[in-house]
Amino acid sequence: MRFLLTGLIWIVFVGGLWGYTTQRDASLPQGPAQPAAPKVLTGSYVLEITPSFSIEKDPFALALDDDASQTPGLEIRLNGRLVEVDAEQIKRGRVIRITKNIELSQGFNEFYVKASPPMAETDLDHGLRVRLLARGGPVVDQTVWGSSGSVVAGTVSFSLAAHKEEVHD
Amino acid sequence: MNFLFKKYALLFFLLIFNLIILSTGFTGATELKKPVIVASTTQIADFARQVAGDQALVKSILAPGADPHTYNVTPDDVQIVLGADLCIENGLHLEGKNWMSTLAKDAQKPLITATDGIQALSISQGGQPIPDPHAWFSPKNVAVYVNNITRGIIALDPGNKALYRARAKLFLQQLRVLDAWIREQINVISPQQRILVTTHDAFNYFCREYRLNEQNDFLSIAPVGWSTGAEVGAGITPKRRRKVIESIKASGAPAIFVETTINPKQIREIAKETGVKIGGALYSDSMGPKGSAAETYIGMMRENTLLIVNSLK
Repeated sequence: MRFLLTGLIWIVFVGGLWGYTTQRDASLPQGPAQPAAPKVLTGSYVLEITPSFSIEKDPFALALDDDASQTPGLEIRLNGRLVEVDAEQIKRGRVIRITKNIELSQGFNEFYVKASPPMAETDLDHGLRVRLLARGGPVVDQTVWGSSGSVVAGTVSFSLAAHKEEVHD
Repeated sequence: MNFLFKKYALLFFLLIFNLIILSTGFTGATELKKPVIVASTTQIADFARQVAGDQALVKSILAPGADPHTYNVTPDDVQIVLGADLCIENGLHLEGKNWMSTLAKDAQKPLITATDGIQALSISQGGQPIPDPHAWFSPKNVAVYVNNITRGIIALDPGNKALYRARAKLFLQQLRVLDAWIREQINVISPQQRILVTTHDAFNYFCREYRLNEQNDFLSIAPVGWSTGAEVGAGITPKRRRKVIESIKASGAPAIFVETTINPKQIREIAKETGVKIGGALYSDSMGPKGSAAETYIGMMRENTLLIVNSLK
């Protein structure tokens, strides 16, 4: 009888405590509201990258097993996502045209580019020209520079307004 | 009645005790045990620390100033390796008689050879070609070290992969800047003056990378052989000493350098006979002690470069 009584008291107290903490946690704020996903713009966009130098494999690159798929020496990201580049196209002064997977958003967008110049050219400055074209006209045209042979890396930011026939939810 | 009262009181207090335990719910954060990484040399320990950060505890078997070629393992070292989750050696027989791989094997610990994939320079010992183990004197080679070490640490602790990758990238960029800075500094010395003579030919990779000692195929010039072990006990013979003095005089070196891990007495005597100044003590097989300017790899390379440039220009 005593054991039953002890068990019953234990269940009442512990159960009550559990119920209280559950109800208390449920009434807490759920965290910040998630920002609305940006509206993706479709349409015909072309990204052009023009290096002023021959891009070489960077001896100081992180080259683990899962880095093998990336184009050696050249990295392009659009809004954080990697954009694939055909390594055959990469030559000094040659325009690299990319038309696939150019997913731009309404509002703020950003390209990140990084390329390593030849190690023998430590006395030269190098540039990467970044152009985004829409319906044949330039949306953005900037050059990212690296001095004295350093890695050429930088971001190109721009804003895009939605066109009526291009807005997707 | 008293007995019953005491019994119920005991039960009541036990119940309250249970409630207290349950209400705390073990809310204190449980301290997870950090992985332990044990490196053979101070340089490799530094590389591992740069990658692992606060996620792991990194130890070095060798203390600053110790010589990896002639080091004898102690019982304390065995205990350290027994507590390791990962061991890292330089390889290329830097660790005399492969003491680090033996320690790891005996303790059944995973071992990474940091120099895997490096194109080693070849040097001669007793007429036989052997790989030069001092590969860290080229920052480009250190990039290979860092990649190997990062791979190993990620395999040990895949949950923190993103952190290890991010730190490795930062350190690799620092190595690139270091490489460019060294080139800029060496460029101040006229090509005819770029002659590096040291007590121990640990600087082959440095000479090859930054184009010193053209007359010696861009390899370091050292009077006492590739390994400190070659001279232990035997000492330098008079015939060889004469050859060394003649070669230093013939090289036209404005200065010669001792190393922090080598007994400098011999080289000081030779310097006196050749009339060449002693440029200073270079860090070679080991970085500097804690608190010194050379307690990190970048610090070591910086101080070595400044000493060389200021003595030769």
